[in-house]
This record gives sequence, C-alpha cells and structure tokens, in this order.
Amino acid sequence: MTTGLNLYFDGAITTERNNYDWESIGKLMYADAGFRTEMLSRNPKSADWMSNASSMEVMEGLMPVAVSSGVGSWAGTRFLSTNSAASGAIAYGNVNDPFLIYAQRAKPYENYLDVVLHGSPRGVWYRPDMMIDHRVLANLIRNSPQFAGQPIRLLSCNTGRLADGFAKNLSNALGVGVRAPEDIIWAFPDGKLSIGPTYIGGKSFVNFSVGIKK
Amino acid sequence: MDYNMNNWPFQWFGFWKEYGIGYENCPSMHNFIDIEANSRYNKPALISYLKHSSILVTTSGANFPSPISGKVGNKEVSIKTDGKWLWFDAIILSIEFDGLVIPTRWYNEIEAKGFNCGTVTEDMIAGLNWPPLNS
Repeated sequence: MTTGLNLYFDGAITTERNNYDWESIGKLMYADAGFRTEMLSRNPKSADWMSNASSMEVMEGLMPVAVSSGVGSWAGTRFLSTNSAASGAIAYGNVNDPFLIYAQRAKPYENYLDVVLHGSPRGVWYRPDMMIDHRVLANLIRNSPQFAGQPIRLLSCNTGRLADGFAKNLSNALGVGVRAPEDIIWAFPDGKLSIGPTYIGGKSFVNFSVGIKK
Repeated sequence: MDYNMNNWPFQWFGFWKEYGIGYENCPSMHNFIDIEANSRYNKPALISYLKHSSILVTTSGANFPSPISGKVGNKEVSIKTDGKWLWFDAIILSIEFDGLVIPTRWYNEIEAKGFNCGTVTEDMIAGLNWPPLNS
C-alpha cells in the first residue's frame, strides 16, 4: 500500500506535482468509484473536473504507463505495463493473473508483437474493473518501447469475433495488421494456446487489415 | 443425466451445459444448487482450497457468467486440480453467492485432508479424468 503519498497526474499517476492534468483526472473519476471518492475528499473542485469530463471514451492519451497507486480501488495494486511485461510482449492487467503469465510464454508468431489482456468483441480490460476501447489500447501500444510498427497479435478473448469489432478497429487505429482470436482463448502453463468455447479449441486466429474488413 | 451432489460418479466438476456450445454433455448447474447444504460448508477453507490448487489451463472469467445469477467474474478462470479431482474454478463464485454444492464425496475428501491440497505431480495430472467437452 502506498496510501498517504501525494499522488498527482501528469498523463500518468505520479508522485510529482507538475503538469496537472485535471481533465484526465475528471475522466478517471468517471471510471473508478474509489478514485472518485478519494478525489472528492481531497479537493472539492474535483467535482467540477468530473462534470467537465464527458466519458471514458475520451480517455485516449491517458495513462501511457500504469504505476502502483495508493488511491481508491487502485491502492496497493501493481499492474503490468509496457515497462514490466516479458520481453517481446506487452501485457495489461494484474501481475499475478495466470492468464497473462502463461499467454506471454506463447511461441511468437512471425514478427508480430503479442499484446496480452482480457478481452471481448468490443472492448478489452486494462485492469479487472476498467474496460478500454481500441483507441486507448492503440495509444498504449504506440507509447510502448516494444512497438516499432510491427503487426499485432492480440492474445485476448473474442477480440477477433466480429468483422467490425475490436481487432478491426485497433488495426485501423494503429495502421498495422492485427491477428486476433475468433473465440475464447485458453492459455496453458507451458505457453500453449487454444481457441474455442472449451479448452479443446477448434477455432483460430483471424487476420485484420487496415481499412478492409476481414 | 440426472446427477446431483450425492450421485456424481466422475472426478471432474464445474462444467455446465448452460455454458452452451461445447458443453452439451455436461450436467445442469441447477441440479447442484442446495442452499441449506451449502450453508454447512466450511466456506473460507473450501474456497481457499479451490483457489490455491494447481492450474491446468486458464482463460477470462467474463466468458463464463453464472448460469444461476448471471454474476460475472472480472478476472481469470482456470481449470484446476488437486491431483485427483479436476474443476472449473468459476464454481468459486457460485459457492459463495448462488448456493452451489460440490459432490459430497469430494467435499468429504477435502475435509479429511484438512483442506490442504498437497503436491500435484505430473503422474497425477496424466491420470486425471477430464470432462466430455466438444471442440
């Protein structure tokens, strides 16, 4: 727990008081009830910041790097980020999540960059109680040191299920090809992956290209 | 299949036909709801046992809402084992909130072990009884 530290924002949560990003704080207050309570108790003006922030959709640009936090439901939780993921992959979520751990052991596919997180046909989970859209993930990937314009393999359930769903939109947002599972993805401790409604598999990855439906 | 907590000849558990495609040969979770029996469990010890056993394979909990309450886990869910039994740990939420019971034979074994899973070996894993799922 880091409760008691003075935490501020300058695009990411930080302990340094510079470049306050009140708009981002307001947006995050929408997304996280614990953080909202904390901010309202710290500064009455934060109610105005929140009322000026319209929705999570405009969180693009927020939190390029996640750090340990001492506020609200973030308290004491470490999140995987571009800086702490295993070499050759990016993962977002709780560091102890076995899905993220095992999926990062997957055999690489060609020159694709693996991005590992829990997902759905229309959104992905940046952390267990925060779903983000393709624009936010695109921004996070763009800010990752592992990303150098290579195509992306999403190890994230159902993100390739829809022709106009998450993977397609991510491909357009990033301007690179995206390969994503058309069903649930299962990860074994040795890094083996299977795709399907059960662990037996039977489904596959789907390729999405910029500007063209699959 | 007319299975229930006192009539369960298998050593796998927690896969329900309500999950849909691929799970057609599994029982209904409704046959394993017994709020009175559930209330007699040493629930903290049982849940700890179910949570801290060996993982065989894992995925996202959001794919497996409770067939009873619709409650969705917001973390991973895993197929786990204690070396003899194999289970889908989405059952943990249902034991906590839906009145789900596990096979009596299994609960008695867990209780007899003092809710201590012990070491799971590769030989044990090789001998596990897996559910009849379809791809």
